[in-house]
Amino acid sequence: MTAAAVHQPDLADPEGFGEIFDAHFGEIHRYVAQRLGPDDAEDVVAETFLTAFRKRGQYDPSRASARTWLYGIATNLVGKHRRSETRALRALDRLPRDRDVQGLAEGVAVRVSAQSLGPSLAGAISRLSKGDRDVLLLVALAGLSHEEIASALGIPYGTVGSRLNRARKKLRKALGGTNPMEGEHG
Amino acid sequence: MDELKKVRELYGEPSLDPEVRARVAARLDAERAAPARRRGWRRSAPPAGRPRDDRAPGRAGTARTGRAVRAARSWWAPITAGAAIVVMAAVAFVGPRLVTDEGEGVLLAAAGVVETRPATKGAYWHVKRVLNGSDVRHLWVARDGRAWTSQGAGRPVPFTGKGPFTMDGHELTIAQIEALPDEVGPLLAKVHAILGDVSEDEREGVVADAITGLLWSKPAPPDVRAAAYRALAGLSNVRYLGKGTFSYDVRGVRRELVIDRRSGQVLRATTGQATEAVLEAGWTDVKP
Repeated sequence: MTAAAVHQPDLADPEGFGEIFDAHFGEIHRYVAQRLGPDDAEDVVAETFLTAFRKRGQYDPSRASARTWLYGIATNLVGKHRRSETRALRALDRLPRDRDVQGLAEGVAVRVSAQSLGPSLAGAISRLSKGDRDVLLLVALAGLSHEEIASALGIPYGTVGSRLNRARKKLRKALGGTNPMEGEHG
Repeated sequence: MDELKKVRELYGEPSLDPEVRARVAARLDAERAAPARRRGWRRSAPPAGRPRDDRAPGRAGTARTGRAVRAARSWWAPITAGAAIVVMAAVAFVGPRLVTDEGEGVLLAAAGVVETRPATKGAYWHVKRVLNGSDVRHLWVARDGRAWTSQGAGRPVPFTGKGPFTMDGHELTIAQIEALPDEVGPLLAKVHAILGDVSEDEREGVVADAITGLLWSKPAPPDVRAAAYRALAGLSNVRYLGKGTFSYDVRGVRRELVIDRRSGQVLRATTGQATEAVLEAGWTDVKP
């Protein structure tokens, strides 16, 4: 999909920004809520669009689609909420999949560390480096291409592939349960 | 084994509050409306034609109540679950004051935001609201009193019945609403005068309802809305429930309002089982 093929709203115009909000709010909200839990997502998704609005002058439509650009901003902001993300992962680890995870933020005083997550898939995701986790989740949850991730995160194209490979390898290991060190605690 | 598929299954579909969209949109609107006042904004040019106003919203909102420090602290602070704990503690230590310091902060911050917004102009006052989550209603009112309504995507039809603007059943014209006092004391006096004969045990609730009625769907100018927010902060029967939510009883019915301190908007009102959200309210030149 080339930039010329899609309608690009004019960001300098408040109406154009409104179009971007309408088109992408749903999926950006979903992505942030997946990573941080629904309660903490609201402020971060608001901050994502506020940041985009403030920096709209720096946005270059020839380099990335508005969608890619928003995922980049959202991912950057999610990275500042490490504790929320760990808490959300722990909730995913423990709750049945269909359970409503609202109310996670109520335990604000509870300190959660990555180590408290067991040798599960959620635990393995939690223990990935930030860079590896961002690439993994932009592929798995957002469905971005390697090229889009490179421009969203401002990293070289080749780095996207190597981070993704490293992340997948670690997850495979966690899922296979072949690591005796981890098996002892399982 | 496909790890990516497993990752997607792990995260699943989060349960999303559909009202977050409206709340975030309101925050963006506030940002668009007040570009020069926030830190980090000075680099970008304010929209053309907007008068400069260097009063900080929190300070403007409190100059008349003498509680500048308290409101400045609450300005732009995120509403978090932790706030509920603060509110409970405040109730325990402050005593019978139901609105609490935290709730007062929300109201005064909202007053500061609405006050510093420019008044909108146009030929028609237009309100778009959603009843019970899905029923979309429009109302247009011309300055001469003609009014139209529509439901969903239906055609606008002339409005019939009382109003369209009433305060506890008393009809108000646009000119009367625009002429309301923009100071707390005179505004309350005027509201009492409009309400006229109300029994003593109903009066508190009816006054709270009349004041909140000025906050969203009526064409009250920014200064009047700001005064209404400040008046609400001083009413003894308005209770703060945390997370921007206030409640009071009017004639035996509990009404809850959710107020966003950052945009100065009433996001939602719940009366008994019915909920109402105002998505847009302002002057427009677009004909019904």
